[in-house]
Amino acid sequence: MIPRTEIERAYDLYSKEIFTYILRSVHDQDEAEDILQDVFIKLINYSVKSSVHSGNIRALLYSIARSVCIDSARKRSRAKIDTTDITMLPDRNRNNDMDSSDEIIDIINSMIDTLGEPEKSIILFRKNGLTYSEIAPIMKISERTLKRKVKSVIEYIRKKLRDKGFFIPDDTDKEDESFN
Amino acid sequence: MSNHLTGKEIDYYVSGLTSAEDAERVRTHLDSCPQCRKLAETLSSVISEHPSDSMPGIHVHEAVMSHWQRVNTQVTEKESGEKPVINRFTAGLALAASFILVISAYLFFGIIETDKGYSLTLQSVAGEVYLNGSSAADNSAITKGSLIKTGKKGIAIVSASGYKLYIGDSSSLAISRNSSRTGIQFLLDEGAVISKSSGDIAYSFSCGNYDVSPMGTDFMMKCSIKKAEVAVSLGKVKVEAPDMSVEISEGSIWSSETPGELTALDSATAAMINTGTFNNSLINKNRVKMEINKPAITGKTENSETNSRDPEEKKIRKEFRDKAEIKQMNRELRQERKDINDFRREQRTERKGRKSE
Repeated sequence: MIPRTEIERAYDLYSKEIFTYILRSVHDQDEAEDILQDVFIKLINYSVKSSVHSGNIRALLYSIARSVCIDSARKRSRAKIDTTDITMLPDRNRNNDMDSSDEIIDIINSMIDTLGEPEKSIILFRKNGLTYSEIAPIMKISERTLKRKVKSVIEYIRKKLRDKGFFIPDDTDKEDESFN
Repeated sequence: MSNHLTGKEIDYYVSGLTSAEDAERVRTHLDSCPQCRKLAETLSSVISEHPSDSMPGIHVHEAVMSHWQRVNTQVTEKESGEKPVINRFTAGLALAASFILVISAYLFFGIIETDKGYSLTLQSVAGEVYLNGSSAADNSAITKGSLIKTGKKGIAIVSASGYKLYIGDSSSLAISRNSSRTGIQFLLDEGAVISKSSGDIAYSFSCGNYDVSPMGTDFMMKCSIKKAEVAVSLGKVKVEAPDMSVEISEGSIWSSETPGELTALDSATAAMINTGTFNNSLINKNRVKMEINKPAITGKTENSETNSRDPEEKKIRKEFRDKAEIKQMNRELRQERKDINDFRREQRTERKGRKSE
């Protein structure tokens, strides 16, 4: 069983970043708080039978958080089908200044929301400041595979952005097939 | 720089898949091309760290810590609940170990005791008497495993303090157990014996399928391949077989041919038992009567007769003996188990007595 000091320390150190990850997954403060609470409760329960220490606690928190987020997303999709919160999507016609970085970030974030797993978690972990070497053990895949998945996301977003007319350099896709 | 980077180049660069030399080339281009740089920066923002100001409410921390408290209490209770179990278990183990030690010591000394057993002697009274395959001298000592055979006119007496066993002619008797703890066990293969007890020696007979346990009596017993007969003149005798059990009371004769009924003891047999002298004509008469198809049942020492036995009979005899051996073994095992159980019971009562004090 994890000692009290250790769980206090883990909460102080990681609750904010785990919360950020959860919030980016679920976009709802209350639900994110519930999930965060769940994550720590599961960690405590896990610690009764398995070893939890400062060396593995962060990865454990992330991997528990991820599975809880996926579960909750599944529940949500079952509970309310076709009630996509359209206010979360950026209003494309709101502003014609396509170079506004705020807007681009909004659009990118909304695209990230539509990603599937594990890509979404990988991107959110990166946004939380985790390195590839830290994410790989959480996702249980190799760093190389991880980078490939990131590449596919970047590619997807780039193409989406191009479709929307954002600063595509001339002849960008001309040599696509000849590269490498 | 006329040529921009391709989309693929940028994807690879941003996601960190580009090799070192390609990365260098891409960086050089990005330095000089604001358009490509802008795209690369935008895409990098997808995976670059974005600190967030959002904080979970303090109630989450409280809930987590109270859950820890709850789980901790449960775990501690469980552990403290387990402790006595472990102690009880250890105590049980120690008890079992001490049991085994005591019992093995008990059995060990028991075996030594068994080896000694009662002091039995064989007196050759008349005719041919063989002990373990050689002519028996008077007053030879008999131990467990001894085999006594009498010839056609042989008569012998096995005696111990307060006990006499008269062995009739053409008989074969083995001592399968001689223990002062569990008593003497005779294996009457065939023939007739008269058992007279006036002491407290525990003894019993095994005769083919039949276990004959006397309860302080004088009786005669006859045994042949397919038949056992017990005549009781004093006390009671119990005969047991896998499928039956009968108590023969004083003044009765039991025969395996009619296991369910007892016949009255005739005066001639009673006199025979009382005096311990075999009336050969009576025994033989009976024998002929009971072995109507096989009149030639005599001691194995009678070579001519042994040879005259047909192979089938030998087979039957062998099976008979094998069965008897197995039975004997089982009986000994049972006895041992019983001893252990008795011992345990004793210990239990002792313990209980201590506790109540």
